[in-house]
Amino acid sequence: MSQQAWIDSRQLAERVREEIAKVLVGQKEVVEQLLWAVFAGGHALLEGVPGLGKTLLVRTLAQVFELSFQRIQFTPDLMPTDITGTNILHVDETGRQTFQFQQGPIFAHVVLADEINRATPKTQSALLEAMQERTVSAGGATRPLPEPFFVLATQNPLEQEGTYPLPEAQMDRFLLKIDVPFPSEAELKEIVLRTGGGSPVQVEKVASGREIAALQQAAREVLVADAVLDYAVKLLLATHPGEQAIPAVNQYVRSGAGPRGVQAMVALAKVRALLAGRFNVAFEDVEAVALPALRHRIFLNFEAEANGIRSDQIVRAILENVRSGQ
Amino acid sequence: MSAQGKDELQKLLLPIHRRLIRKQRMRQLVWSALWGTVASLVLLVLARLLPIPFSRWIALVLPIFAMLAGALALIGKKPTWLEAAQTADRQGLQERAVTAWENRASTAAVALMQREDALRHLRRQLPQIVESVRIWKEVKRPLLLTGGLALAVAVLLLVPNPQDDKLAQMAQEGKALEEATQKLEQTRQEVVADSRLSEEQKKQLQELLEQAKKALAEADDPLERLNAIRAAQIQLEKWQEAEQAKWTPFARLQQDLRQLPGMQGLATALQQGEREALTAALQQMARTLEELTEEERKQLAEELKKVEEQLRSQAEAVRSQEAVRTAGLLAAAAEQLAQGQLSPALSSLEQSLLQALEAEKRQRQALLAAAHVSASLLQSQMALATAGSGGASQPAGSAGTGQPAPVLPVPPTGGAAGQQPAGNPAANAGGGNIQQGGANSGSASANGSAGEENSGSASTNGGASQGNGAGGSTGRNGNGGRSAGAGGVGTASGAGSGAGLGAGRHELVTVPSQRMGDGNGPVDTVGGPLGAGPFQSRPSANSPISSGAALPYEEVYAEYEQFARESLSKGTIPADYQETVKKYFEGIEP
Repeated sequence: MSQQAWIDSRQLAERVREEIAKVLVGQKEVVEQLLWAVFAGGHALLEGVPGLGKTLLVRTLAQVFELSFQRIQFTPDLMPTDITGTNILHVDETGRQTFQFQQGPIFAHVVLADEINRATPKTQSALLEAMQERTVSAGGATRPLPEPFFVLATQNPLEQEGTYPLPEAQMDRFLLKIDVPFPSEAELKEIVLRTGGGSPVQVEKVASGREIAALQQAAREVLVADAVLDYAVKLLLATHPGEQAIPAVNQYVRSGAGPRGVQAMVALAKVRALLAGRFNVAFEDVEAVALPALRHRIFLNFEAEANGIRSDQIVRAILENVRSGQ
Repeated sequence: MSAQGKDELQKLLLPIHRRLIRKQRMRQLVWSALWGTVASLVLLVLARLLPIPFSRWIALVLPIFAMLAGALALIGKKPTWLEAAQTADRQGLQERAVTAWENRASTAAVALMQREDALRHLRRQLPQIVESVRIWKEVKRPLLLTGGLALAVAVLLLVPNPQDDKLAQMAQEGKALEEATQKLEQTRQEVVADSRLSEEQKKQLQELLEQAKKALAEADDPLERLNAIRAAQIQLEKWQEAEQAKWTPFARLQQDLRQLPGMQGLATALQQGEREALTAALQQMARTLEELTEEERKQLAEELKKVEEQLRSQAEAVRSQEAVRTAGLLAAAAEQLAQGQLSPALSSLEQSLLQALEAEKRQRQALLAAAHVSASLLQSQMALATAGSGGASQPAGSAGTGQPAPVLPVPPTGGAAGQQPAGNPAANAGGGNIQQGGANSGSASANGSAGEENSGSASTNGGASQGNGAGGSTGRNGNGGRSAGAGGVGTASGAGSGAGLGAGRHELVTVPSQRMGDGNGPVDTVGGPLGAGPFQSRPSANSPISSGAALPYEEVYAEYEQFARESLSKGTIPADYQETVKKYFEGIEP
């Protein structure tokens, strides 16, 4: 890959940011993290209260990337076949009846799994299998999903009644979990002004699937020094309770992040470095991606729940501790 | 581009690397100096609490050694190039340098681009990066701390250390121990070389000296050393008593012969210890025997038989084989005399007397050797006691009280000269130092009966010295019966221990054995005008103070002064002496 290609990658990311900003007010950090997930080839879980523009963001992203987009509203009565598709009886012109596979909404480049925690675990697992394998097995055949393939799921942290929280193993499938914050006063004002009237803003398609794949390849080639890799490993190990762990971890953490955690950190850090115009990962990249990459991989105990401790606090404490030990 | 890039990367990292090396060296040296100075300070502080030899010199060289050790520890330890790259990265290069260094061998496109990116940043920021390696800031604090501590060390070096006196004393003790050991060894060699001693006597004396040396070497403190010497002395005294007991039958023989008619000459010759005189006396006796009647010869034979029986019984009592053999010959002489065989009788008598003469000589020599050994032991003891009581304790008084050591009794060998073995205590001026009274012959008046120990007077040194010699001298007169001034020639050893007057510090003093006590303590009886009356001394039966122990001067003084005060109040000290005693104790008050 030439140096020009790297420069193009950065410019591409910048154009994406600009296009999304036309539609979405604020949420720059969310957009950035979503871009990390896309360029790292992973799936993202967005968590935030309703009305923060999660769906809008994902939809806009799909438009900007010139990719197919499907939205699945997860409800308790949603069946797995509603996601993956199913064989239906087809009668041709000659009257001959055959079963044909009818693709579900999963067969799209960008799939928005809205309120994923409202579907039953059976349905959730159908989606999560597709996320992991990037294939769908139905009617005795395995069908590949389109490339690139992203699942961007959302969930509402407030309304927990009648929901099915994702199991730990399935949470681990998401490369990162993005907290969608409430907009600031100025941003709220801007949102009102933009949505008050007039025609909706149209975004340009700035990248094709091929260009995204090239950018993903470039991100994978970003160099990581041993010391930086060690740092990421130390961070991951620090999430586990034990003799070396900080008191907060021992007190509040039931189980720490698995190996996918460090893989996620390094992959995201590479993307961040690439988008920052570097050919190598820096410590600051790892630190920047640690929170979204680890927060959904750390499982807190009852004491933490009772005390209102969030995994973000634990990750920040770990970062503080490991950084001072460097 | 690859090789060139690699070279340039190293070239750019070189000034950082050099600076890191300088920083490492400086830091190591300064910290080494700091630790060395801390060690010096601790040593000097400890040296003020405990006697540590050469503490000043050690304190001086410790920082130097520490710095040398620090420098040696640096050999082969240099900051790595990776560390140089990490240093560069800390100045905002965002791990570019480290990544480039780790991938310097890679020819992948991304690695080349990354290297070029890193070089670009390095070129731009190199001055700031090199400047960021601050040496002075790193070493400033420890350097200032080292300076402060060095100042404290200098102060401690310059301010006199109270432990120096103790060290000097320890050195003196060590020297005294060495001298004592040498003296004992020298004495042992002299004993070995003494041809006049029997092999048995040599062996016993050698064993005694070896034991003393061993005990001395094993002793841990001055007191134990003194006790070791004291134990050897006691052993020597026992040996000497045993040897002396062997002489008793011959002394009795002399006395008994003197009672027999015509044999006074033999007794005198025997006493003189001269073979020629004995031969002459035997010739005289032969003439006398020829003039005797048969009846008188038989009577003489019976008397001689009685003497033989007496000799035999005593010889058996003390297990003296030589005396038994002499008795056998004497019995033969008596038998032959009774049968009228004058010539064989005289021959047997001559043999028995010659044997007695030789035995006496050997016993005398053994006692002389014992005296010599005793003198050596005393000399060692005094040297150790002086060292143990502190070399600084040297009162500059003019008078000392001499304590003569017990002088070993030696059989008198001559009746002509009224010489008596006498301890001549050398109570030297400034009596802190004790000197041994040399073996000498002294004129002294001696009272006592034959075979009894009497107390010889101890002479006092003339001049300004006013040493009061306590009579430790014992001797035997050769006249038999109580007589005055008719002692024999004696070789004696005396050692004086003096407590002088004057300024100075008194620490430990050696309390000689049998010096003072309660009602059973030593009694010195004097009469007549001061310095002219008769003198008698009875040693103490028991003593509240252990014999030969080194005790604090104050303690010893208090007990002696109490004893003197009680003696004054009881009136046991004549009026002429009372003032002298009072002045003396006032003078030596600590």
